[in-house]
Amino acid sequence: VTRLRMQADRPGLYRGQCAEFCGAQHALMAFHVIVLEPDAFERWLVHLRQPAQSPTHEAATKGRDAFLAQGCGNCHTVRGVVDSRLAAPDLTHVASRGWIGAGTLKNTPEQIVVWLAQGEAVKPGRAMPSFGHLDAATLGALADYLANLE
Amino acid sequence: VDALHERLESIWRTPPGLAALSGVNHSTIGLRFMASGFVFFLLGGVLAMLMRSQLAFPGNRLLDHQEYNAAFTLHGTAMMFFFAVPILLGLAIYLVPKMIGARDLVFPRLSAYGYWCYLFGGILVFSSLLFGEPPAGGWFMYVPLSNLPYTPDRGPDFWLLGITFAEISAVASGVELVVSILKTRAPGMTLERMPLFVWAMLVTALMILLAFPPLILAGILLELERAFGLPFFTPARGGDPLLWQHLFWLFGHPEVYIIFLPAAGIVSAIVPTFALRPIAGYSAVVLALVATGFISFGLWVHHMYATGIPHVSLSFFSAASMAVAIPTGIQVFAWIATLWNGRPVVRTPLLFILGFLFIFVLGGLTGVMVALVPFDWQVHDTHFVVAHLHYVLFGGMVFPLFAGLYYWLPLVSGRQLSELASRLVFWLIFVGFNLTFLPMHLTGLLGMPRRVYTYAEGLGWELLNLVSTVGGFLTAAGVAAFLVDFVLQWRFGPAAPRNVWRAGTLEWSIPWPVPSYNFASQPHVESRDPLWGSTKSSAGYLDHADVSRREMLVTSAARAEPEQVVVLPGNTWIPLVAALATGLFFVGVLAKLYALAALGVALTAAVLVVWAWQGGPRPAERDMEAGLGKRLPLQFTVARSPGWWGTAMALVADAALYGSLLFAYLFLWTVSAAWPPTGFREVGLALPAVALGSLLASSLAVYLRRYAAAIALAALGAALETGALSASGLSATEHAYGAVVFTLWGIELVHIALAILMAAFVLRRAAAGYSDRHAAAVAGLFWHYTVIQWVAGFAVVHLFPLLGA
Repeated sequence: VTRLRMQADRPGLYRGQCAEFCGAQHALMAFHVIVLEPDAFERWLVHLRQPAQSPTHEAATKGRDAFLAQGCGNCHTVRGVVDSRLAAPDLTHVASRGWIGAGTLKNTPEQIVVWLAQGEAVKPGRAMPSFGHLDAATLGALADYLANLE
Repeated sequence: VDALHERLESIWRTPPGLAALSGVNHSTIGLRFMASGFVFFLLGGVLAMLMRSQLAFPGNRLLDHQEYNAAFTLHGTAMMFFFAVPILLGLAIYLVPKMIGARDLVFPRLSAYGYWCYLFGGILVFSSLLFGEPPAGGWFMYVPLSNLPYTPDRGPDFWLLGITFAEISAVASGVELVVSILKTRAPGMTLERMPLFVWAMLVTALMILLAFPPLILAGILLELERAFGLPFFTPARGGDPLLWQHLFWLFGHPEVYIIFLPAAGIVSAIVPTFALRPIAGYSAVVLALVATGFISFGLWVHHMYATGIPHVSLSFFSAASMAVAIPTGIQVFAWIATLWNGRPVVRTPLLFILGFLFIFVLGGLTGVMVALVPFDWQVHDTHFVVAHLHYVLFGGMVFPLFAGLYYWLPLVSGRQLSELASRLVFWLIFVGFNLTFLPMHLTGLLGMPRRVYTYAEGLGWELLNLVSTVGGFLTAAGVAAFLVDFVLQWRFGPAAPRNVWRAGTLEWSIPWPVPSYNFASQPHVESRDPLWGSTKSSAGYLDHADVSRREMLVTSAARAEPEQVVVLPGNTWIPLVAALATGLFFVGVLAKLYALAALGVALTAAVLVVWAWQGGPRPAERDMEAGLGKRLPLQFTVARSPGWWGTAMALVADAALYGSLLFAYLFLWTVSAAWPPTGFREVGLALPAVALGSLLASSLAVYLRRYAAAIALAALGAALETGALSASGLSATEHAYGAVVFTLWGIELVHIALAILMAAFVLRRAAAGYSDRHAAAVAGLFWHYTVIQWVAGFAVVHLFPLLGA
């Protein structure tokens, strides 16, 4: 029951949403399934197995330091940086996703800042605390870092 | 006649002022049920309007997620438990005695007690709002969400305890209606002359006796898990969340028909009146009602298609779900045929019936659609299902209810209906309803799930939701207009003649104002529509001028031949006090003040003893002149008194409760890897066998009327089994196995305690010089049931594990 199998006949983007009432944020529990041709899927799998790429520019490096300093790695895994944290989603390739917050916000640096700073207002009852106390520069650097995790 | 009327009225009436709370008359109680039910309908409606307002626009911030989740939980709870069932039972409590030529229901104090339990239970659930902890897990309260780790606040406890408290009233009404319908029909009203509304209520009442116990048991089990950690629903300790779903829908699906069948009965009462001819296919309609009752117990899994149950089982439940459309179709065709054959006069009640037919048939069609597993998988938990269920429930119950309220209003108010305003009410509700729910099919097909407090833009749901919201407010305006119209019609209409619609059934022979005793002289019935036959002489039963107590005829179940005279209790505060004491128990459990809860149990037991002690025979009187030359025994002097029948019916419900627990045991066995779980020490067989033998011997002692010996034997058996279980080191909290075993025995212990109390009562009663045979018959019946129940319990607890070994 906890495994969901889907059959897609055509490549494309498919949206799904939680059906069985599951509690506080039942309304904002969506997901997007990207269906690829077999060879594209193989390439994606290979890419997915790679550890996180190192920051490619200055701001992203600052963001990685902030990521570690703020304790994000206590719950989140970024393979190659912090491993085997299972309490929260794996962020190793987070920039390759279209949405964050279970289909709630578009995955753009601006929305990542919103999610970091005011996530509890966007999705009351979420497990992650909001980091609204951080200054804009730190939040921006964190967003840069995450957007860099292709 | 006037002198007799004065005398009967002084005996039967409900006193004025505050003392009215001690009233037990069925007319009083029936109207109270209906008025309270309507208040809950309005509450549920306000919640619905809040939800529709929230969903009018994507991302709306009128309600937050907690408020919205509480709103849909309380909306469903109010509508299902505190409106639909109670208001229909209230209508039946008011009408059934009048339709079958009786003066009251056969257990007046039980109806009063049921009413108070219902009212207090409803207040308990809604009081959670005052504490800021409303239940928010849906009216179905699925685990694991509503279990302690995921909902640590007291919301689910308010729900579980309030609902269980209120369901006492449903079971009480079920017992009341079955016995009243079977045993107090006017002489000559054989089963095949019974009005269809009464048939519908008989089937409904029997369904209540079988369907509510699984829910009550589920509530007990979840409360035991939340309060004391008995792991019925926790997989890590041998439990299973699906057990909750099975028990809930084992109740929940028959519940839908418990709501629909009385409504169908209303339709069958109204259609012939306005078609000016008897119903077409009376026998077919009766068979359809009975068949629906049976089939409705084989459908519950169609609420669980998406839970991963094997396909073979799903096909069975899918077939049954489609099969239930057949008896319903038979009724629809009978109504259409009646209208077709007659010359229908479209007055407001019939207008609502036509609206019902239109909406309900559409709901039936989508019902057949969702009965198909693949289709259901597509629309499961989407707004399509919301639309479907409102078409069958609002269409299938609210429209007939409003038809019935307008139809029977002249009987109560003595005033004629003015049509203009009530037609406006109909069109407002009809248009509003369809505007709300017709687009909702589409919203669901476009993928919008149920129970979401908000949704994103750009998914194509905006316009449909806005239309539904506008329709919702139109419906609400219709209901408000109904309320105003109904009160005005009640107070200010022009006076109506007796039997204003020229209907055929007995309730319309009653003059206005409705006498509290209904019939000064209980009639003899000779046809299905007695008022359409030749008017006979008014001579009847029990109209002797020197009447001094509430007397009523008891007749045989099938042929309705006079058997006994029952002397009913008068107005008394006992039911209210008993309900307050019961409430103390529920509040005590809720507040985790278990001493208070125990006090509640003790007080309730004490009040019930006083209850049973009330009344009683005059020593010398064994029988009396009942009129028309019949001399009949009084109920105290016969073994098969109404009390015996009532006990038998209550035991049907009791057996359903215990049966559900046995089902839980076997269900958990099927899903467990090892049963009993490894590491659980076996309970030795010797002591339990002696305990069982002791209980069996106690039954023999009761049969021989050696009550003191029986009490001693039962106490010995209880002590031995309790000792064996506690000595075995079995834990109730470590694993679901121990939890079920201890619960099986715990329920049995409660029965043994009650049986002992009843036997002691019989002894005490005899010592006080009463010679009532019926009390001994009741105690004996309960005693033997208790012992048989443990024969089943023993087989499961002590013999079943040996099979696996």
